[in-house]
Amino acid sequence: MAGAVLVIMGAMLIALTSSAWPAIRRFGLAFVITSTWDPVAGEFGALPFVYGTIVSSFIALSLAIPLGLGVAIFLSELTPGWLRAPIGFLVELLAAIPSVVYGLWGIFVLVPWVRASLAPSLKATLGFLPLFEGPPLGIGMLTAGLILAVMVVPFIVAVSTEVMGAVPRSQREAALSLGATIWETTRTAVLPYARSGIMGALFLALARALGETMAVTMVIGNVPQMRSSFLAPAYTIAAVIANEFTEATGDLYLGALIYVALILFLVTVAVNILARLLVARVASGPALIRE
Amino acid sequence: MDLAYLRRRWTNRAMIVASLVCTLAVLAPLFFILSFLAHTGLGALNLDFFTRLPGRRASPAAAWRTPSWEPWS
Repeated sequence: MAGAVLVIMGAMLIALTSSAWPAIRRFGLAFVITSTWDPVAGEFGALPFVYGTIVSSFIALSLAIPLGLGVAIFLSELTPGWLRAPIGFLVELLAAIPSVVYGLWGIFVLVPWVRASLAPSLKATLGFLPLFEGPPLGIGMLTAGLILAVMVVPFIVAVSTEVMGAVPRSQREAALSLGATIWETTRTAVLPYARSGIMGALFLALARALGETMAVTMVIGNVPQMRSSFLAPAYTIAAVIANEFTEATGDLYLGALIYVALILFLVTVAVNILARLLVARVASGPALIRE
Repeated sequence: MDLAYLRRRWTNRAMIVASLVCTLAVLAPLFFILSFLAHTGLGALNLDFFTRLPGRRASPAAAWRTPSWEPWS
Protein backbone atom coordinates (compact mmCIF):
# COMPACT_ATOMS: atom_id res chain seq x y z
CA MET A 1 0.00 0.00 0.00
CA ALA A 2 2.82 2.38 0.91
CA GLY A 3 4.46 1.51 -2.37
CA ALA A 4 1.28 2.39 -4.24
CA VAL A 5 1.17 5.77 -2.54
CA LEU A 6 4.77 6.42 -3.53
CA VAL A 7 4.04 5.37 -7.12
CA ILE A 8 1.04 7.72 -7.25
CA MET A 9 3.06 10.59 -5.83
CA GLY A 10 5.87 9.90 -8.25
CA ALA A 11 3.40 9.86 -11.14
CA MET A 12 1.95 13.17 -9.95
CA LEU A 13 5.42 14.67 -9.74
CA ILE A 14 6.28 13.50 -13.26
CA ALA A 15 2.96 14.73 -14.66
CA LEU A 16 3.32 18.14 -13.00
CA THR A 17 6.92 18.52 -14.11
CA SER A 18 6.20 17.56 -17.71
CA SER A 19 3.16 19.87 -17.88
CA ALA A 20 5.12 22.72 -16.31
CA TRP A 21 8.12 22.13 -18.54
CA PRO A 22 7.55 25.13 -20.89
CA ALA A 23 7.63 27.47 -17.87
CA ILE A 24 10.52 25.62 -16.19
CA ARG A 25 12.58 25.86 -19.39
CA ARG A 26 11.74 29.53 -19.89
CA PHE A 27 12.07 30.88 -16.34
CA GLY A 28 14.07 28.27 -14.42
CA LEU A 29 14.42 28.75 -10.68
CA ALA A 30 14.14 32.53 -11.13
CA PHE A 31 10.39 31.86 -11.36
CA VAL A 32 10.29 31.55 -7.58
CA ILE A 33 11.95 34.92 -6.93
CA THR A 34 10.28 36.97 -9.69
CA SER A 35 7.24 39.05 -8.84
CA THR A 36 5.85 39.86 -12.29
CA TRP A 37 2.65 38.06 -13.25
CA ASP A 38 1.59 39.32 -16.64
CA PRO A 39 -0.22 36.75 -18.78
CA VAL A 40 -0.59 39.23 -21.67
CA ALA A 41 3.16 39.83 -21.90
CA GLY A 42 3.98 36.22 -21.12
CA GLU A 43 6.01 37.13 -18.01
CA PHE A 44 5.42 34.97 -14.97
CA GLY A 45 6.87 34.90 -11.47
CA ALA A 46 5.51 33.14 -8.41
CA LEU A 47 6.95 35.30 -5.64
CA PRO A 48 3.70 37.19 -4.76
CA PHE A 49 1.86 33.89 -4.44
CA VAL A 50 4.58 32.26 -2.36
CA TYR A 51 4.64 35.37 -0.15
CA GLY A 52 0.85 35.43 0.26
CA THR A 53 0.77 31.72 1.05
CA ILE A 54 3.53 31.96 3.66
CA VAL A 55 2.21 35.12 5.35
CA SER A 56 -1.42 33.98 5.53
CA SER A 57 -0.28 30.60 6.91
CA PHE A 58 1.96 32.38 9.41
CA ILE A 59 -0.95 34.51 10.65
CA ALA A 60 -3.14 31.43 10.88
CA LEU A 61 -0.64 29.40 12.87
CA SER A 62 0.19 32.34 15.15
CA LEU A 63 -3.46 32.38 16.18
CA ALA A 64 -4.20 28.67 15.99
CA ILE A 65 -1.21 27.31 17.95
CA PRO A 66 -1.94 28.93 21.33
CA LEU A 67 -5.67 28.36 20.95
CA GLY A 68 -5.27 24.75 19.83
CA LEU A 69 -2.80 23.90 22.57
CA GLY A 70 -5.06 25.56 25.15
CA VAL A 71 -7.99 23.43 24.02
CA ALA A 72 -5.83 20.28 23.96
CA ILE A 73 -4.65 20.94 27.54
CA PHE A 74 -8.23 21.63 28.60
CA LEU A 75 -9.47 18.40 27.02
CA SER A 76 -6.68 16.10 28.15
CA GLU A 77 -5.86 17.48 31.61
CA LEU A 78 -8.82 19.44 32.97
CA THR A 79 -12.08 18.26 31.49
CA PRO A 80 -14.06 15.60 33.34
CA GLY A 81 -14.70 12.47 31.31
CA TRP A 82 -18.39 13.17 30.65
CA LEU A 83 -17.58 16.56 29.10
CA ARG A 84 -14.57 15.49 27.03
CA ALA A 85 -16.47 13.67 24.29
CA PRO A 86 -19.02 16.45 23.54
CA ILE A 87 -16.37 19.18 23.41
CA GLY A 88 -14.08 17.00 21.32
CA PHE A 89 -16.98 16.30 18.95
CA LEU A 90 -17.77 20.00 18.57
CA VAL A 91 -14.13 20.85 17.86
CA GLU A 92 -13.92 18.07 15.28
CA LEU A 93 -17.14 19.39 13.75
CA LEU A 94 -15.16 22.49 12.76
CA ALA A 95 -13.05 20.27 10.50
CA ALA A 96 -16.17 18.84 8.86
CA ILE A 97 -17.48 22.19 7.61
CA PRO A 98 -16.79 22.55 3.87
CA SER A 99 -14.28 25.24 3.04
CA VAL A 100 -16.73 27.00 0.71
CA VAL A 101 -19.04 27.47 3.71
CA TYR A 102 -16.14 29.00 5.61
CA GLY A 103 -15.64 31.26 2.60
CA LEU A 104 -19.29 32.34 2.56
CA TRP A 105 -19.18 33.06 6.27
CA GLY A 106 -15.95 34.94 5.71
CA ILE A 107 -17.43 37.14 3.00
CA PHE A 108 -20.69 37.94 4.73
CA VAL A 109 -19.65 38.04 8.39
CA LEU A 110 -15.89 38.14 8.89
CA VAL A 111 -14.95 40.66 6.17
CA PRO A 112 -17.48 43.30 7.35
CA TRP A 113 -16.40 42.74 10.96
CA VAL A 114 -12.71 43.10 10.11
CA ARG A 115 -13.44 46.21 8.01
CA ALA A 116 -15.65 47.90 10.60
CA SER A 117 -14.17 46.80 13.93
CA LEU A 118 -10.97 44.78 13.99
CA ALA A 119 -8.87 46.63 11.41
CA PRO A 120 -9.74 50.13 12.70
CA SER A 121 -8.90 49.13 16.27
CA LEU A 122 -5.64 47.51 15.13
CA LYS A 123 -4.79 50.66 13.20
CA ALA A 124 -5.62 52.81 16.21
CA THR A 125 -3.39 50.83 18.56
CA LEU A 126 -0.69 49.36 16.32
CA GLY A 127 -0.99 51.63 13.29
CA PHE A 128 2.61 52.81 13.70
CA LEU A 129 3.76 49.35 12.58
CA PRO A 130 4.00 48.67 8.83
CA LEU A 131 2.02 45.49 9.46
CA PHE A 132 -1.17 47.46 9.97
CA GLU A 133 -0.91 50.36 7.55
CA GLY A 134 -3.23 51.11 4.67
CA PRO A 135 -7.02 51.32 4.44
CA PRO A 136 -9.08 48.67 6.23
CA LEU A 137 -10.65 46.96 3.24
CA GLY A 138 -11.83 43.89 5.10
CA ILE A 139 -10.48 41.52 2.51
CA GLY A 140 -6.80 40.75 2.84
CA MET A 141 -4.22 38.59 4.52
CA LEU A 142 -5.52 39.19 8.04
CA THR A 143 -8.99 37.92 7.17
CA ALA A 144 -7.52 34.96 5.29
CA GLY A 145 -5.34 34.20 8.30
CA LEU A 146 -8.35 34.35 10.62
CA ILE A 147 -10.34 31.95 8.44
CA LEU A 148 -7.35 29.61 8.13
CA ALA A 149 -6.84 29.68 11.90
CA VAL A 150 -10.40 28.50 12.46
CA MET A 151 -9.91 25.79 9.85
CA VAL A 152 -6.62 24.38 11.15
CA VAL A 153 -7.37 24.51 14.88
CA PRO A 154 -9.24 21.16 14.86
CA PHE A 155 -6.14 19.42 13.48
CA ILE A 156 -3.95 20.83 16.23
CA VAL A 157 -6.51 19.97 18.90
CA ALA A 158 -7.20 16.43 17.68
CA VAL A 159 -3.58 15.33 17.31
CA SER A 160 -2.32 17.15 20.41
CA THR A 161 -5.10 15.72 22.58
CA GLU A 162 -4.28 12.20 21.37
CA VAL A 163 -0.56 12.68 21.96
CA MET A 164 -1.08 14.17 25.43
CA GLY A 165 -3.50 11.38 26.24
CA ALA A 166 -0.76 8.89 25.39
CA VAL A 167 1.51 10.26 28.13
CA PRO A 168 1.69 7.57 30.85
CA ARG A 169 -0.46 8.24 33.89
CA SER A 170 2.54 7.58 36.10
CA GLN A 171 4.17 10.76 34.77
CA ARG A 172 1.31 12.88 36.02
CA GLU A 173 1.02 11.01 39.30
CA ALA A 174 4.72 11.44 39.98
CA ALA A 175 4.50 15.20 39.47
CA LEU A 176 1.33 15.53 41.54
CA SER A 177 2.82 13.46 44.34
CA LEU A 178 5.68 15.95 44.53
CA GLY A 179 3.19 18.75 45.15
CA ALA A 180 2.96 20.14 41.62
CA THR A 181 -0.19 21.97 40.58
CA ILE A 182 -2.17 20.88 37.53
CA TRP A 183 -0.46 23.48 35.36
CA GLU A 184 2.99 22.54 36.67
CA THR A 185 2.21 18.88 36.00
CA THR A 186 1.16 19.73 32.46
CA ARG A 187 4.17 21.96 31.88
CA THR A 188 6.84 19.69 33.34
CA ALA A 189 5.48 16.16 32.85
CA VAL A 190 3.02 16.17 29.94
CA LEU A 191 4.18 18.79 27.43
CA PRO A 192 7.86 17.70 27.29
CA TYR A 193 6.79 14.11 26.78
CA ALA A 194 4.38 15.04 23.99
CA ARG A 195 6.58 17.67 22.39
CA SER A 196 7.40 15.82 19.18
CA GLY A 197 3.79 14.79 18.64
CA ILE A 198 2.63 18.35 19.16
CA MET A 199 5.22 19.53 16.64
CA GLY A 200 3.79 16.98 14.23
CA ALA A 201 0.32 18.41 14.81
CA LEU A 202 1.58 21.90 14.06
CA PHE A 203 3.20 20.77 10.82
CA LEU A 204 0.01 19.01 9.75
CA ALA A 205 -1.88 22.23 10.43
CA LEU A 206 0.73 24.15 8.44
CA ALA A 207 0.33 21.77 5.50
CA ARG A 208 -3.43 22.29 5.62
CA ALA A 209 -3.02 26.06 5.78
CA LEU A 210 -0.58 26.11 2.86
CA GLY A 211 -2.90 24.17 0.59
CA GLU A 212 -6.27 25.61 1.56
CA THR A 213 -7.95 27.04 -1.51
CA MET A 214 -11.60 27.99 -1.54
CA ALA A 215 -12.09 29.91 1.71
CA VAL A 216 -8.84 31.83 1.22
CA THR A 217 -9.67 32.64 -2.40
CA MET A 218 -12.96 34.17 -1.29
CA VAL A 219 -11.50 36.53 1.31
CA ILE A 220 -7.86 37.33 0.48
CA GLY A 221 -8.56 39.78 -2.33
CA ASN A 222 -6.61 38.02 -5.11
CA VAL A 223 -4.14 40.77 -5.97
CA PRO A 224 -0.64 39.56 -6.96
CA GLN A 225 1.31 42.04 -4.87
CA MET A 226 3.65 41.94 -1.89
CA ARG A 227 2.74 44.44 0.80
CA SER A 228 4.01 44.43 4.34
CA SER A 229 0.55 45.23 5.70
CA PHE A 230 -1.66 42.38 6.88
CA LEU A 231 -4.65 44.52 5.91
CA ALA A 232 -3.68 44.58 2.22
CA PRO A 233 -5.11 42.19 -0.36
CA ALA A 234 -2.82 39.42 -1.54
CA TYR A 235 -2.86 36.16 -3.45
CA THR A 236 -1.94 32.59 -2.59
CA ILE A 237 -0.62 29.73 -4.71
CA ALA A 238 -3.80 27.70 -4.37
CA ALA A 239 -5.96 30.74 -5.12
CA VAL A 240 -4.18 31.66 -8.35
CA ILE A 241 -4.48 28.10 -9.60
CA ALA A 242 -8.20 28.00 -8.81
CA ASN A 243 -8.90 31.42 -10.31
CA GLU A 244 -6.82 31.32 -13.50
CA PHE A 245 -6.62 27.70 -14.56
CA THR A 246 -9.78 27.79 -16.67
CA GLU A 247 -8.69 30.91 -18.53
CA ALA A 248 -5.07 29.91 -19.11
CA THR A 249 -4.40 30.05 -22.84
CA GLY A 250 -1.17 28.88 -24.35
CA ASP A 251 1.44 26.44 -23.17
CA LEU A 252 3.48 29.02 -21.26
CA TYR A 253 0.55 30.37 -19.19
CA LEU A 254 -0.65 26.85 -18.42
CA GLY A 255 2.90 25.75 -17.69
CA ALA A 256 3.40 28.68 -15.29
CA LEU A 257 0.27 27.74 -13.35
CA ILE A 258 1.35 24.10 -13.16
CA TYR A 259 4.83 25.24 -12.12
CA VAL A 260 3.16 27.09 -9.24
CA ALA A 261 1.23 23.91 -8.43
CA LEU A 262 4.48 21.94 -8.47
CA ILE A 263 6.00 24.34 -5.92
CA LEU A 264 2.96 23.94 -3.66
CA PHE A 265 3.07 20.16 -4.07
CA LEU A 266 6.73 19.93 -3.10
CA VAL A 267 6.34 22.24 -0.11
CA THR A 268 3.26 20.40 1.16
CA VAL A 269 4.88 16.98 0.75
CA ALA A 270 8.00 18.15 2.58
CA VAL A 271 5.94 19.55 5.46
CA ASN A 272 3.85 16.38 5.69
CA ILE A 273 6.92 14.12 5.71
CA LEU A 274 8.43 16.21 8.50
CA ALA A 275 5.17 15.97 10.47
CA ARG A 276 4.99 12.20 10.06
CA LEU A 277 8.57 11.78 11.19
CA LEU A 278 7.92 13.83 14.32
CA VAL A 279 4.72 11.93 15.16
CA ALA A 280 6.50 8.61 14.58
CA ARG A 281 9.28 9.74 16.91
CA VAL A 282 6.88 10.35 19.78
CA ALA A 283 5.07 7.08 19.09
CA SER A 284 8.29 5.08 19.14
CA GLY A 285 8.85 5.47 22.87
CA PRO A 286 9.54 7.73 25.82
CA ALA A 287 12.71 9.27 24.46
CA LEU A 288 11.76 12.74 25.60
CA ILE A 289 12.02 12.51 29.35
CA ARG A 290 15.00 14.72 29.82
CA GLU A 291 13.74 17.23 32.32
CA MET B 1 0.81 32.48 53.52
CA ASP B 2 3.93 31.78 51.52
CA LEU B 3 4.26 34.19 48.61
CA ALA B 4 5.71 31.53 46.30
CA TYR B 5 2.80 29.23 47.08
CA LEU B 6 0.32 32.00 46.31
CA ARG B 7 2.07 32.75 43.03
CA ARG B 8 1.98 29.09 42.02
CA ARG B 9 -1.69 28.83 42.93
CA TRP B 10 -2.64 31.94 41.00
CA THR B 11 -0.57 30.83 37.99
CA ASN B 12 -2.40 27.52 38.07
CA ARG B 13 -5.79 29.23 38.19
CA ALA B 14 -4.81 31.65 35.43
CA MET B 15 -3.73 28.83 33.13
CA ILE B 16 -6.91 26.86 33.80
CA VAL B 17 -9.00 29.93 32.98
CA ALA B 18 -6.86 30.58 29.89
CA SER B 19 -7.43 27.05 28.60
CA LEU B 20 -11.17 27.44 29.19
CA VAL B 21 -11.14 30.74 27.30
CA CYS B 22 -9.24 29.06 24.44
CA THR B 23 -11.91 26.35 24.28
CA LEU B 24 -14.71 28.90 24.16
CA ALA B 25 -12.84 30.95 21.55
CA VAL B 26 -12.38 27.88 19.34
CA LEU B 27 -16.00 26.79 19.65
CA ALA B 28 -17.42 30.28 19.08
CA PRO B 29 -16.89 30.29 15.28
CA LEU B 30 -18.79 27.00 15.03
CA PHE B 31 -21.85 28.55 16.60
CA PHE B 32 -21.39 31.77 14.61
CA ILE B 33 -21.29 29.78 11.35
CA LEU B 34 -24.25 27.59 12.27
CA SER B 35 -26.33 30.59 13.34
CA PHE B 36 -25.33 32.48 10.18
CA LEU B 37 -26.37 29.55 7.98
CA ALA B 38 -29.61 29.06 9.88
CA HIS B 39 -30.46 32.76 9.89
CA THR B 40 -29.80 33.34 6.19
CA GLY B 41 -30.66 29.92 4.81
CA LEU B 42 -33.71 28.66 6.65
CA GLY B 43 -35.89 31.47 5.32
CA ALA B 44 -35.30 30.28 1.75
CA LEU B 45 -36.36 26.72 2.44
CA ASN B 46 -39.76 25.46 1.32
CA LEU B 47 -41.12 22.38 -0.40
CA ASP B 48 -40.73 23.90 -3.88
CA PHE B 49 -37.03 24.39 -3.21
CA PHE B 50 -36.62 20.61 -3.19
CA THR B 51 -39.31 19.49 -5.64
CA ARG B 52 -39.30 22.02 -8.51
CA LEU B 53 -36.78 23.02 -11.12
CA PRO B 54 -35.66 26.64 -11.11
CA GLY B 55 -38.06 28.74 -13.21
CA ARG B 56 -36.81 30.72 -16.17
CA ARG B 57 -38.36 33.85 -14.73
CA ALA B 58 -37.24 33.23 -11.21
CA SER B 59 -35.97 36.77 -10.79
CA PRO B 60 -36.28 40.11 -12.58
CA ALA B 61 -32.65 39.77 -13.64
CA ALA B 62 -33.31 36.37 -15.19
CA ALA B 63 -36.40 37.72 -16.97
CA TRP B 64 -34.39 40.63 -18.30
CA ARG B 65 -31.75 38.27 -19.68
CA THR B 66 -34.29 36.04 -21.46
CA PRO B 67 -34.47 37.20 -25.13
CA SER B 68 -38.03 37.64 -26.33
CA TRP B 69 -37.32 35.98 -29.66
CA GLU B 70 -36.43 32.65 -28.14
CA PRO B 71 -38.81 30.02 -29.51
CA TRP B 72 -39.75 28.79 -26.02
CA SER B 73 -40.38 32.22 -24.52
